[in-house]
Formats: sequence, structure tokens, C-alpha cells
Amino acid sequence: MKKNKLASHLKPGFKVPKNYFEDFEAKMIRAISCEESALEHHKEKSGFTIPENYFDSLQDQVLAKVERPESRGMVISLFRKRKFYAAAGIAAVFIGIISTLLLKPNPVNSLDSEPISVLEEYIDEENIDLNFNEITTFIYEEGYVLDDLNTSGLSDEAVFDYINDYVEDPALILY
Amino acid sequence: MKKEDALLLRKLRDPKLRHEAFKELLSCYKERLYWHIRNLTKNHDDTDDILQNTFIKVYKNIDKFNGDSLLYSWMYRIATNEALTFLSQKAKRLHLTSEELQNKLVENIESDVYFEGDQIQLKLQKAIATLPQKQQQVFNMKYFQELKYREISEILGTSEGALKASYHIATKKIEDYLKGN
Repeated sequence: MKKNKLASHLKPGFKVPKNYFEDFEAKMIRAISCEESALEHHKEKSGFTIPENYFDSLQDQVLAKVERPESRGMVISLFRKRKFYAAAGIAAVFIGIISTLLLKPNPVNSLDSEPISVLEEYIDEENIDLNFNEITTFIYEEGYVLDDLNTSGLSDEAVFDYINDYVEDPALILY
Repeated sequence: MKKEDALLLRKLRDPKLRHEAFKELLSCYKERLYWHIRNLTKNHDDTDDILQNTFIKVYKNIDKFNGDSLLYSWMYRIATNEALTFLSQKAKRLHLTSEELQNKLVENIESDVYFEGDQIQLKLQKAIATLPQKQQQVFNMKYFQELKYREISEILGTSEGALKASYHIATKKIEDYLKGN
């Protein structure tokens, strides 16, 4: 009876190579150790080594760290409230006296207090770094330049000469 | 998301199965992530610290992993960020630029008890240290870890074409360095 059952499995005509199932286990072990040998290969390539049994101990160390419950110890106040307020009050009085006697207020910096030459130098040294969009916004949208610009004294010829001399992109002249 | 990833994730998010699943994750990825970090930091002790932090972050943030990428690329990204943050903090602490730190790390290799490479391997490390950070990462992942461009692309979020170009430039620079030194 058993023999017949086995025979029925072979009916579709499929075959396996000789000793396939016997060799399967050995092949699998080789495949797994292949990955290990890739790591060995890495060590050979780079020259780096590791302490003996490092990976075994690593696993235990990491597991111990992730499973350690967070300790919540009792919180002990450093200062008792009453003493703290008294000390803070005395310190505040001293700070007040010292600051009024010794510290002078800093001079206020404003654009008006700086000479024009300093401002010009600052701009010439390219300390103001505006990109193209920022410059465009400044000129057109906020109207700082164009609104205040009086062009009545400029002739068309002068404008054309200026563009001809200083504008390198011909597309700008065409538009 | 891959089937195995989905299964592992389900287990990681289940409080009853979390411990076993995390052990599985650790044993699967500890070595790969170790070498990934070691290539960046060059030093075993630093790598050990970063690797432990990486796994702790993975454990704590596993609920935030939304499955848009593969689990391993998400973990590689965490490891990369941890390593780069560690290096930039180290550079700040020692008052060095990142280039100066790279040179220092390579100089220290010579006296490292966990380096058994020969002169050529040492020179190779020196050559890698001359590359920009991104090229170093690409070179390490391709040459030492033998990852596929598709995998590197998922980890670094860079197109495969750009990675190929980057690796090509990096190998060319390394060749030139080795010939010239």
C-alpha cells in the first residue's frame, strides 16, 4: 500500500538530481557560512580586526541596556524655600547696587550715529549679501529706488548710452 | 515591505514577542552594521559605542518606522547618522576640521591593536581619508561591504547613476593617490 502511494507522487514525471536531498543540508550550511566568509573577506580587505568574542558580548550588552527599567529615584530639593528666598533677596540688593555704581549703559548704535564713509565701506566690501530675488523685490515691489527716482532730467540718448556701455546682456536692450 | 521585514516588525511591536524579535534583529545585523560604522570611524571603541547607540535607537523608535523603505536600509541610515554625528562632535571637541580629523583617525590606525593590515592597506585607508565624506561612504559600502548600488541608493537616498559616478571618481582618486605615494 505504501509503495503505491510513493509511486503516485512520481506520476507527474518530475525528477530531482541524484543525492539532491542528501546534499541539501550541506549546501544550506555552506550558503550560511558564505555570509560569514564575506565578513572574513571584509576583515582581510581592510585590515581591521575586533576583540575576541566581541559580537557575543555585544548582544548581551545591548539587550541589558534596552531592557533596563528607567530608575526614578526620590527627588531631594537642594534649597529649602525660606532660606532660598532670603538669600535671593540679599543677592538682588547687592546686584542692584553694583550695577548702578559700576555699569554704564552701552551707547546706542544706529545708522545715524555712523559716518556715511563707514556705511559705504561696509557696502563696498560686499558685507550685504543679497541674492537676485531679494534685489528685485527691493527695487520693484517695495519701491525704494524707483518711487524716489526722478528721471525727468535724463534724456533718452543718455539712457541708451548708459545701457550700451554698461549692460552686457543684449537681451535687456531688446526688451 | 518585504515579507520577512513585515513579520519581524509585527513581532517587534508585540510586547510579548519583542525580546525574541530584537535578539533576532541583533544577530542578523550586528556584524554588517559594525563594519559599516567601523569603516567610517576606523576605531573599534568608537564603533562599539556607536553600534550600541544605533541598536538602542532602533529599539526605541521601531514604532516610528513606517515601512516606506526596507528595514535594513532604515537601520543603516540610523547607523550612518550616529557615526557622522559622533565624528563631527569629536572634531569639535578636539578643535579640528573634518579633514584634519580624518587624517588623525588614519594616523591612529598604525598604533591600533585592532588593525592587522599591511602597508598597502594602510595606504588605502590614507587614500580614502583624502576623499570627500560622501565619496568615502560610497567607496566603503561598495568596496569593503560589497553592497549593491540599489542597496546603497536606498540607504543614502542618492540615485544609482550618481552613486556609480561617485564610486568611479573615488576609485580614480584612490588610484592616483596610490600611484603618487
